[in-house]
Amino acid sequence: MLKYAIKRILQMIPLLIALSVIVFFLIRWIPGDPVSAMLGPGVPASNIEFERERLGLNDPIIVQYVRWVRDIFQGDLGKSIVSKKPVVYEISRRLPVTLTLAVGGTVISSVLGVILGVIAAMRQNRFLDNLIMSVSLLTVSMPSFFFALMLMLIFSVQLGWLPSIGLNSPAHAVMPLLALGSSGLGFMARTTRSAMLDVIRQDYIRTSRSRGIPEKIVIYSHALKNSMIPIITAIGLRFGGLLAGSAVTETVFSIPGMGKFLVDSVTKRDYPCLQAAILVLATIFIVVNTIVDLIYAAVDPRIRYE
Amino acid sequence: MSEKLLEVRNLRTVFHTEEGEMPAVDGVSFRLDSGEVLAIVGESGCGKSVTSLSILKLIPSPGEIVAGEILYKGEDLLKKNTKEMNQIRGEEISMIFQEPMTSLNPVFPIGHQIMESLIYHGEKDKAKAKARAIEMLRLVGFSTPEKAISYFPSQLSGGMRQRVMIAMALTCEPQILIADEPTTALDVTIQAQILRLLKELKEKTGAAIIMITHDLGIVAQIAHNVMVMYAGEAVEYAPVRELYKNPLHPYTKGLLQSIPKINEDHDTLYNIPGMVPGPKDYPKGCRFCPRCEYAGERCEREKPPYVKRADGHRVRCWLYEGGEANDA
Repeated sequence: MLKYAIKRILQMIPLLIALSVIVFFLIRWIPGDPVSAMLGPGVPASNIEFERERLGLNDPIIVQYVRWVRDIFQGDLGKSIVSKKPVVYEISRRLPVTLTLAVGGTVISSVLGVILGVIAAMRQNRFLDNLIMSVSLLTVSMPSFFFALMLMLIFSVQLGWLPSIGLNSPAHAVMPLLALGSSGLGFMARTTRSAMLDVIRQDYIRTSRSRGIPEKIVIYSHALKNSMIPIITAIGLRFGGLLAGSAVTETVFSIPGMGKFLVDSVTKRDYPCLQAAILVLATIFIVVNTIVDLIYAAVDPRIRYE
Repeated sequence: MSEKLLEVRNLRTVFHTEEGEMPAVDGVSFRLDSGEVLAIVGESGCGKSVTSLSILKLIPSPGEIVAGEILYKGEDLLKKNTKEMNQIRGEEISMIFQEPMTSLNPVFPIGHQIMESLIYHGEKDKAKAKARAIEMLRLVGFSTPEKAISYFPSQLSGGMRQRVMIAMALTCEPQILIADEPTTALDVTIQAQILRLLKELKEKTGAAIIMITHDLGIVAQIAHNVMVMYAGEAVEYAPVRELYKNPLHPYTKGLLQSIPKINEDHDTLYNIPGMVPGPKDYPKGCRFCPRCEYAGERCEREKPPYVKRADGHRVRCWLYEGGEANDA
């Protein structure tokens, strides 16, 4: 297991290098000039040229890349072209917010989704199954921003129970978490149901029953553990999706998180912020995927002996 | 021997399908005494596996036991609820299956799976359960059972997995072991080892065995009595020597004739013409009638009774009306 873990962790290194190259060069491919965007229209060409020179944007692109990577290793992600503050500062203010929402949303959708999925599988084609599957279809198909708006309409506007914007207290987090958790909930319930239905027909489940193991243990230990691979995959994907896709929800609730930061950076061509934000989010995604792989191995011995 | 342990009376297990009710087992009766080895033989689809699963009430939906009695030590298992059945399963009556490759849970170590049987049947002390698991693995032929308990099924060969299945089934010292084609999926040398092991363990534990098989060679080696099934019904029952010496039912005769003999040189092996009919195509009279070379007009019209002859040999065939009709 330890050997497998080390192997998987080392495999992250080439992935991260490739990621940094793609992020850096892709952003420079986007049409538009950050300096003109920053200085606004009607600024003399000489001023733009001076500013480009000062920011190092006139150096060969390879030189810029090497400088950027070197700085990353010194904990320096550059300065925002717009706010003039260090990018590290800008990100450190926003990342915890997005992570909290993504983790919270993932936990809610995973816990409830798995429980509902197991219940649906055990009651296959009966009323409860149909109910859970209908609700999950609804949550999967409904865009989360629409659900967010509906929540605001009901709980903030009509009932006045919950604050609608910002993220200053636990009460503020309720609706964003519900909005982020809901779409994953249906997805998780469906994944769990189909994985459980697949496993429950296996010979070893019949063996467990033939040995007089209580049905609860058969379902929640023997069968669920065998269903974990697709379920963990789904949880990892959901987390990645929430991390990257939080922009819309953050915008609806005016939450100062990474998603909103990313969108703002794109519109302002703030290269340092943009590439740093993408790099950080993508790195988290890679780390999460590696963790998912390690959990696979912990759950299923056949993976670690391959 | 001779104390009655299990009696199955008129068992009828059907599968509810879109085309209607399919009787996989249709009025089967037999008894099993303590220490006895009963073989149930027949072709694929004759209902022998469904019979064995019915005993433990493990028939998967859409299957259902619709009639009959399964008396274990005088108590009808069909009247017991799941909780009561779970005390019988694995502890009083346990089962090994045909497919050792898929019958063990791939994500738990084998020791854990054996210990679990003990723990859910009342063993409170984990250390004792572990010691017992090690003992069982040694008994079924693992040379280093202390190490083997932490193996996962994927690390073992088919033969070794079947040994684990046997260890698991026998760990609570059941009265009855149902072995559903335990050697079918294994190659011949391993088959012989597993059979020898079953025989040895039977001597040691005194468990009665119901051996489900389509291999008459196995029957000759291990069984005391044989029940031959065809199309969901018992067609013949006899002590094993009697059956080989004096088979009565034309189907049994056909089965015995289709075993290749080492000292005879045939270009083609005998086979029974035709196929086993599916439950929806069962003939009105004798179910074997369309394939039977002795079939007469009465066989097509009327279903023969299951008669018991003076020597205890039972048969369901119009050729032997001499016995007294008896369905139990």
